[in-house]
Amino acid sequence: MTEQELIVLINEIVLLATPLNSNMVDIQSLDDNLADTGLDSLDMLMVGIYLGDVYGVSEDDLKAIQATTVRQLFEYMCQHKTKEPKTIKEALESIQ
Amino acid sequence: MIYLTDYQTASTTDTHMIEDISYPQRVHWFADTYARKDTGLVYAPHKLAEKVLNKTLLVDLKNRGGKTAFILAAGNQHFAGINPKDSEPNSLAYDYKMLPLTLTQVYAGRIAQACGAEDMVITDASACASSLKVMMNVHELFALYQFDRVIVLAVEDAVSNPVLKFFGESKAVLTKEQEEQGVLPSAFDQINFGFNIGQGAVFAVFENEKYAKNPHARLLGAYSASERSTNAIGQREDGEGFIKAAHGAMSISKISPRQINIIKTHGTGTKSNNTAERNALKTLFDHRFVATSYKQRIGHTMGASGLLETCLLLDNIKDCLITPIKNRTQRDSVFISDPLHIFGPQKILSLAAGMGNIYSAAIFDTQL
Repeated sequence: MTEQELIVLINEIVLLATPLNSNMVDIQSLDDNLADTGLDSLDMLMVGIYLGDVYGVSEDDLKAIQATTVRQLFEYMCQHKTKEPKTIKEALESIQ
Repeated sequence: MIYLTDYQTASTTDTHMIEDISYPQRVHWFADTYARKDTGLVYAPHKLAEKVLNKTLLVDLKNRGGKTAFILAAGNQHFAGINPKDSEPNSLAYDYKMLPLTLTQVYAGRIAQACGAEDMVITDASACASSLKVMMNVHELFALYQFDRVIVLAVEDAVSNPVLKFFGESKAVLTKEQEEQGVLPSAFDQINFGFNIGQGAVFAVFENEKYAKNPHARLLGAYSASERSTNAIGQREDGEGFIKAAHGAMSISKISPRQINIIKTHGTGTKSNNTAERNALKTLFDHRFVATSYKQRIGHTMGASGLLETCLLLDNIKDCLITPIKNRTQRDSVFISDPLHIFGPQKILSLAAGMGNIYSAAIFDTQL
């Protein structure tokens, strides 16, 4: 997926994972700092688990996530993935 | 003055027979709350709560200002550590991947944050009395602690394996077998009786006169009580618990029994509740009262039921037509068997009872 598609994907996942807080979150760039997105630590937990499902990352690996930016979050997923969706639609279908 | 300024309810009259459980039974449920459950990413009680959590209202509440408390009336549901499986995996079973987020207090904190309730977060587990029991807390927070606003979310996913099994096992709900014999859910009736379990939720905002705009009703007072009992899940035949709760609520509201226009009963329709509540009402009001029940239409929504049904009654009052007790075959002057036309403001007494020996009463007035 392109960088632009990954940005769309992360915003869609935020919408699914944190339905009540999502209207305050708008991730514009992969270099956005996660701490500045408006997601709190529990929101981040949910987003991480949703994303982990998309990339088939094990729960143990998810517990060890260390990421400061959105880009680092995707990089971590790619390092530990067991699958990789080709499109946003395919990615979201696995978690909807 | 305490005003009920906003409320959103979720309940359904639709029913569905769940067969693949230990005690097959009909339920009132929103099938979409269990959609995607196999992903392990959704938790049914949260999906149910989302039905009454209007994002626009939450943002609006956040911007209103004032000293605000949030109460999660969670009924019997200790959200954390649940095991949603029946004896065998079935259509309701699921494993949720984010158990920390199911902790009742954590969930309450998250919703409080979303609606700007930064001054107090309370959770309550007073079983089926939960959402009416917290009306006493609402009253106290305004009267004793000068809160400007108290927001209540009452939700319980009663259509879950643990609840259906417990109530099926104890024969408290109408079973598929009874339904096949022609028994219909009703209350205070000689032929029909009992209830089905139902999913329900209510989100209600209470504000003082400084913040209340276009309120629906006033909360005059509330009270909760226990009765002398040898069995924490039983009810005394004389209705002592209901009597104490109603007396307390009327006393704090400075209302006499004659001023009550309509009563929303707990009205499960079980033999023990029919006896206890009927006797309590007779003692409190002699034969001068008018009462209805909603559980036969929407199911018993457990912890959400007391306040949710009160809001349904407020809807009825706006429509000038009180919904009767469904499937009631008897006709008398006190329990409504047919739609009742009403006019003008009404003083409501709402009653609820919960396992663990808790009885709650709240009085609302639509005269603003």
